[in-house]
Amino acid sequence: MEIKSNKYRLYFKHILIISIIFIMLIPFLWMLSTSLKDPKDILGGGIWFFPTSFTLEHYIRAINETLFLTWLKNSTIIATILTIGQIIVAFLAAYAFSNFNFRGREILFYFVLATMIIPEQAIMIPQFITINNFDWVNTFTGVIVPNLASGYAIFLMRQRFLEIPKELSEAASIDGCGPLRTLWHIYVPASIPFLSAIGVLLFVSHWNDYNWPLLVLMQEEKMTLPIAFSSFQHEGLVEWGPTMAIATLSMIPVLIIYLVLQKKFVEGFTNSGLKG
Amino acid sequence: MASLMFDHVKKRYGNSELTVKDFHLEVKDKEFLVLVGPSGCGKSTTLRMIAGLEDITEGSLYIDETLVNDVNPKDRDIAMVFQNYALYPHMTVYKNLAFGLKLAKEPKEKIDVMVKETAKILEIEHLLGRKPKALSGGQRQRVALGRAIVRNPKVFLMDEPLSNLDSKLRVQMRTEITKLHKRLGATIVYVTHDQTEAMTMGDRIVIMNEGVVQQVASPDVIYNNPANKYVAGFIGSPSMNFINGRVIEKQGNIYFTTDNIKLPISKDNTNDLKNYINQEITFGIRPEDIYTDIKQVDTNESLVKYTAKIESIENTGSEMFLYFSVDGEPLTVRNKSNPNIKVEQKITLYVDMNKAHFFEKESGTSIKYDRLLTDNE
Repeated sequence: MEIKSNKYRLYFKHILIISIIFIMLIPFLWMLSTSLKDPKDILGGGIWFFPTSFTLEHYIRAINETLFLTWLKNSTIIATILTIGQIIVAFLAAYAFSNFNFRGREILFYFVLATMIIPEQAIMIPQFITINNFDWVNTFTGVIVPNLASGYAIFLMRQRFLEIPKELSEAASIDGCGPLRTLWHIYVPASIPFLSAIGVLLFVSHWNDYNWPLLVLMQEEKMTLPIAFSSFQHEGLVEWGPTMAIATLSMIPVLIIYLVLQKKFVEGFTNSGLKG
Repeated sequence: MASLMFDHVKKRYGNSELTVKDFHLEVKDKEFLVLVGPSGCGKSTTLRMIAGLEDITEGSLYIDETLVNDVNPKDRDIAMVFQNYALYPHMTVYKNLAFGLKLAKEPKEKIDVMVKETAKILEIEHLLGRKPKALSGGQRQRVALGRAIVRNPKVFLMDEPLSNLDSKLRVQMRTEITKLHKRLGATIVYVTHDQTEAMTMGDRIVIMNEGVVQQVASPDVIYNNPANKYVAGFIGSPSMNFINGRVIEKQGNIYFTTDNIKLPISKDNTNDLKNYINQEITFGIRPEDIYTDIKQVDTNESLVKYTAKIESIENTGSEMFLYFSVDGEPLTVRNKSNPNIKVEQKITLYVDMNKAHFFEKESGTSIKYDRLLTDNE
């Protein structure tokens, strides 16, 4: 009897999980199907979202009529530099927070945590005025520099570093390492699995950055993919087909990175105990 | 190799009490010095101050007559073996051994020779390609030792290096470290809480308690002439028996008495106790200095008879420990294993009063200490 009830429980669990996955997948499937549908079917197809017609026209238009490849390049440059920069800053800051005893360490760390709490919108205007003073409006520098330090990355990296036995850095210091060498020779290699996870998390979040690049980047050829979605939105009319084609194409790089590092990505989420 | 000099060194963490109170000692070149004491006694802190991993609050520390208070660990030319080995997990054994040499910018060929030579000494040549997680505890211990000796440092520091090994391996490594010390002619400062390690390995032992050095001497002196009651009780297993009582004089003879016992003081000790007549003292006797069979003793001049009932017995095979109660205080006797001795049995004990120790009741200072020290000199 018990085995049977366990079996039903398992069925129930699976049905529940599949339904949740389905609900989450609908927008993606809708995006994909819209991007492949004949323009006539997009608005006339009712709620049935699988394409009855099939065309690559929207993709061709998206690539030919817009600066899609430039935007792709821009997004890649900005997301990559931000990810690498944030990891470097996080390594150094986390090492200091976990290994050095200095006055005000705790307070400083609370400030780092506070950057995770304050919403982006709250500091947008002063931040914009600052980069304007530097003449960085409409430049990648303006998008990148204010975001080079991530409280989230510093926090996660510090937690990881605290797990590394202190004796290792002591042994290294006796062996002849200064703080930077200890970081490079001991802490970085010991954190590589964690590093790839956190790298993916950061890359995905910068790939999807919208508000700040929208504010800083003015010219079309400087834009990143998320702000370029509006290219086919005209007054009173949205061309859903090409818009969805751009959305689908812009997902591909992230999807590839995710698939390659899938295992570590999930580990990163589980270990952090936080949502991305 | 090198000598070490502690000049009234003190250590305090934050605003707390001193963790190490006035450590003043010279460690000679090629000496094997063991710091021993219960946890929290300041022995590891002292070792870490030599390594440069802890700042010195007050006093000076010299390595080979150079003041090193403000010298970085890497510039002190020392090597340290940690309790949990602290091997670099992502490096092979070879790289673990070579790491320090590489940082010192030694030429590659020289590093290779030195690593292989060290591996040979420690018999870990076949492990050079492995990572630490693929090694057993004993092998990791050897690699940790190898990492220390490969650099040929002035001073070796060892922080309870054997405490993570099982007892059989510990005995084996104990001998190997002692052999290594002789072979390398190294100056070693070794921290342990295990008195057997201290007694078997050290040229000299420093016994510490609550940040204070209790006694510094060779194992022999520590055992036979403890400076105070703490040292007497700490070294020796089972530990020394202590009985509180009073010194009295009757018809020219001196006795140690409690409510139920009266032990005549042997001639050798009479002079020491003359100044303590009618004062409270603590009498101490090691379990092996009480006999159950008079035939076991060469001389019975100083023996005193005492009859008592055995409360319990611990048999280790070759010998047995008999537990008694004298005036409410426990008394242990070490005896050869003997199946005829049973619990609850009344037995005659012969106490060798020549071997007795006497301590001042309040301070715990040994009353015989100064005389024995001069005798030895």
